[in-house]
Amino acid sequence: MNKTLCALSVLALALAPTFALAGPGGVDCASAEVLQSNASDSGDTSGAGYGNPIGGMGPLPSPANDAIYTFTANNATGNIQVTAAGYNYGIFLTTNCAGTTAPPLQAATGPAVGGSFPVDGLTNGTAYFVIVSGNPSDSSAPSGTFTFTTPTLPVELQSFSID
Amino acid sequence: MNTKMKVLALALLGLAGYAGSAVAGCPSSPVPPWTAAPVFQGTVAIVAGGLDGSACRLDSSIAAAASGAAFATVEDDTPAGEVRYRAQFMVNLDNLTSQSLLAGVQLFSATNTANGTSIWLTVFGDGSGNRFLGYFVKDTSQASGVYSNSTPLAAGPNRIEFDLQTGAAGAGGITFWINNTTEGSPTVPTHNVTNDAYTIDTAFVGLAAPTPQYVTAFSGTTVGFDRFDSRRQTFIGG
Repeated sequence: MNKTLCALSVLALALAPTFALAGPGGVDCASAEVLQSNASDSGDTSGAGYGNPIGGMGPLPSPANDAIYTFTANNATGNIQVTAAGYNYGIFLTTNCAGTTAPPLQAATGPAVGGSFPVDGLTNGTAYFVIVSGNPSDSSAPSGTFTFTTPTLPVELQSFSID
Repeated sequence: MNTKMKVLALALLGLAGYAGSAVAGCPSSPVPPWTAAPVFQGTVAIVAGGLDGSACRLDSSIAAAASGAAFATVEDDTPAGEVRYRAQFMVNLDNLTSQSLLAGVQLFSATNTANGTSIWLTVFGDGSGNRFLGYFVKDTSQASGVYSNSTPLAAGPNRIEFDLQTGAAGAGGITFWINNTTEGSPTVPTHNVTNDAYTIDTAFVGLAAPTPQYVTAFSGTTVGFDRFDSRRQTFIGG
């Protein structure tokens, strides 16, 4: 791909249309799926391939399967909101992805849907992780289907050049 | 590191001369000696009235409308890959009046940095004034990955001590002493587990992971903690 095409591709990503249906989330930190702005993300943590790479989040146990997403903050604003869930979910905003993460910055839990948390005030240029797992207060380690929506998470254009 | 890892006796903080005391004789913040005081949808505070007759204690409470991911804790990062971890703390749960089976909340957890939570302790009731300590210990020999059980607690301040040993192929184990200072007669005899990947790096004391029923019944209610001590080898006792 020449530089012009590459630049155009990056630009196209930056201007990607809203409400794109994203994938089911990464099964580990290395495969964390990049979140897009104003998108709807669905998955099923009871599906094949999902495990429990995040075993704890600060003081909270996390015995349930995890689906992992990431984004780099750049004037992010609005709420991440769970719009559907077939189980007693937990969704967490963390600053790192590890066997035990730092205590979550924000979180919402089931069983009712509609839970949300803001992404305002995050540090621009810093990578954050959104982890969909089970409710820490539910020791049955639940997993299942989920859908959440993302607010505006502007994509930062890292480079641009014209031949 | 000395055999005696850490004594974070909140009751003694007031005697250590920390500045900024919110209450006469008590410091305004648990940090130091604690590493941090992570909270989300909850609060922690050092207040007068230690559970062992000393000056101060830690009060922890969960906020109204909190989620199951709420926490109001203090954090000790002193441990470092501890193969054996003995810890003791005091807690008074009397403010949780008529606590029910479903109104559970976490009191303590300890984690392995690479692999997650190694042990977590909860409390639940029977709705008639009786209360129980629930304990969850990583055990990779179990289908669920966790061994869990419970043991009764008493009214008033409880002194909870455990000895967590990590090991492969059933060589790990968990033992409890509840209001019991006789090492040779544990309240809960050793139960063997497989948990060699779950050595201890960090400990958290305070309320966390409340159920919806707990939040409805006890949001804003304080639970007092005191006299945390952790060691590698020796029994803590009285």
